[in-house]
Amino acid sequence: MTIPEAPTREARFEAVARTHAPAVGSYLRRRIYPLPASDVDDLLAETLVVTWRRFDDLPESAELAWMLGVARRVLANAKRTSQRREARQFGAVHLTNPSAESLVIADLSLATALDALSTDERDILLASIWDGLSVGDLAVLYDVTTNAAALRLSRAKAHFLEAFHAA
Amino acid sequence: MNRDPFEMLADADPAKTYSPRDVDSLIAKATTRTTSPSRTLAAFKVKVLGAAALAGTLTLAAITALSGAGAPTPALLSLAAGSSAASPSAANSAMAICQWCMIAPYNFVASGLSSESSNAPVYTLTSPDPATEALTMITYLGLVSPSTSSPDPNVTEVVSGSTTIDVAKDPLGSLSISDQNGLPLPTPPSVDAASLEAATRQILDAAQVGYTLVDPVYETSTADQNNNLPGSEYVTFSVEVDGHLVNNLSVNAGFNQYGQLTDFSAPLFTVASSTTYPLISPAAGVDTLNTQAASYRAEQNITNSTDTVPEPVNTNPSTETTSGAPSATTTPDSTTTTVPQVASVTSANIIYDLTSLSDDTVAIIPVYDYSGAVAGDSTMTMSWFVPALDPTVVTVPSDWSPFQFQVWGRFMPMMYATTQGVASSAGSTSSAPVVSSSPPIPSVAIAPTPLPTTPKP
Repeated sequence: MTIPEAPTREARFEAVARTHAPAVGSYLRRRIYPLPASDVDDLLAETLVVTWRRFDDLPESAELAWMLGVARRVLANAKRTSQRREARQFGAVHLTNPSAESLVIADLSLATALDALSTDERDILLASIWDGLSVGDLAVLYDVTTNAAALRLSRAKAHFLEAFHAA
Repeated sequence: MNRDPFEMLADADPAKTYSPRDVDSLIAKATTRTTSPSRTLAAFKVKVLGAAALAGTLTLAAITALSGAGAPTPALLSLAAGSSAASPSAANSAMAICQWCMIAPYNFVASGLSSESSNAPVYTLTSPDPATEALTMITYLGLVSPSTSSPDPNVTEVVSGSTTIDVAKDPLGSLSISDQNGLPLPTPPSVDAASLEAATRQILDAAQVGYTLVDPVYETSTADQNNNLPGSEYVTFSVEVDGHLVNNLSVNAGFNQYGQLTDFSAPLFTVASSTTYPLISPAAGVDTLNTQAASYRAEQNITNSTDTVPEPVNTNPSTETTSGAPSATTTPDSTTTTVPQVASVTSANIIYDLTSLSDDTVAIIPVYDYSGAVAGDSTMTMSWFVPALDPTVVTVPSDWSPFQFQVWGRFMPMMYATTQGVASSAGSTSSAPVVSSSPPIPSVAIAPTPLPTTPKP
């Protein structure tokens, strides 16, 4: 997506944020469980705060993937915080649930096939299918080489199909 | 009509109708910081607290060490008070649909499973401090002018040229290394399986992990000139602790055609303690599955014909559905009546899965991995998971109903433990065989949120 040149740092940030906020918010919405959906915009705000703070690091060719990387960390921190709060409150810790996405899918075949994937496979598959990221973007998001991203996505797709047809 | 599974997945996008509430406001907040991150976080915490209470997510777990007279005994897993059932809102969620789909439709029947109980160790794990581990890897890899940052107390990032290292503790430790250009290792390997395997082990030796690598799987990616992708060799190992394969843990390493490291990811931990616990028998675990299925049905106001009519389970496939879902009718009072399917559980293996402790440490516990088939559908083999730990080593408060172990990567069926059972547990644990003299584990976190058992295709 081409973002028009803007004269100031703040104006450039605004252009980037306005362009990508819906995609970043959608990314968070897809993965928000078990946190409440109403927290999505708070986490989007956090993501934009971090993006503004580190705006000079933003790669021009991969703004969205970079911002999704920030969102990923923000979401992980929020879930971790929630787990610790629950631990203090109830004496228990809820670990990150790699099957969270599958729990919001009512179709049993899809949910079962997603559950059959490893966390990494599920992440990269959904980033491709739901978030529409290219292999290059996936490499930025997961901080791996393009080659590795392509291989991981290919492997995830193959495992998903295998599990889907077996279910 | 057979639809493309990827199209179906795209259609299942839970964010299809999402759009940010007020982008202008979010942008303004980010740039002017009218809302500081800490204030946002505080608001977030308050919301989570309310949501957790609403969902009835509670539980607990403190472990009381039972120091038996003279003989070491396993710690008693003692559950603290909490809410006993999911709220109506949770029951009506999409999540509840999956609970129903995956567990409630079945009457489980053990077929040829042993009724003998046994013992198995529970291991607690400890992970290194990310900053310390990052320094270790900087030294081992000989990185020049590394730039280190910690965006989170539990994460340390290192950048040196094209090399990036992430060390995290979440709460299990993890290490990832990435270098688009290829990172020469201290002992450069040849590009053959044995050398790359040895190189992977050397990295983990430097990290001083407390597990062993087994079952390497190699994948070769040939060079793609059109997309400027070089050839690569990837190896994935499974992880064993004390000879037990641990689910959902793997070590991945990628090398380019020069034997330079391009990608690496591994868990970071050592075993802190090992304590032997009594297990339920494989056959008893199947009873647990039925208990859980009945519990789900009760929560969902679903009446299974075998719940109300004490007759033998109908095993005639001709009267059962074959689609994997039961037939159901809804009565005016919203109670759903179902015809259950018989799930014949034919094998049980003990596997190990990660779970968490209430003090933020991590443990691996024995789990029964059941396989079986649903009557009337010979094409589908399913698996269900039940914590293998004997419930008599777990205390549950009287206001609790079913609870559930949640482990990394899967949800397991709930187990019942009554106050009466707890009372008898102290005696039973004191006489349980114990093979380890390690200190008892301090606590175990058991997540009781009523979530579905995950069937494995």
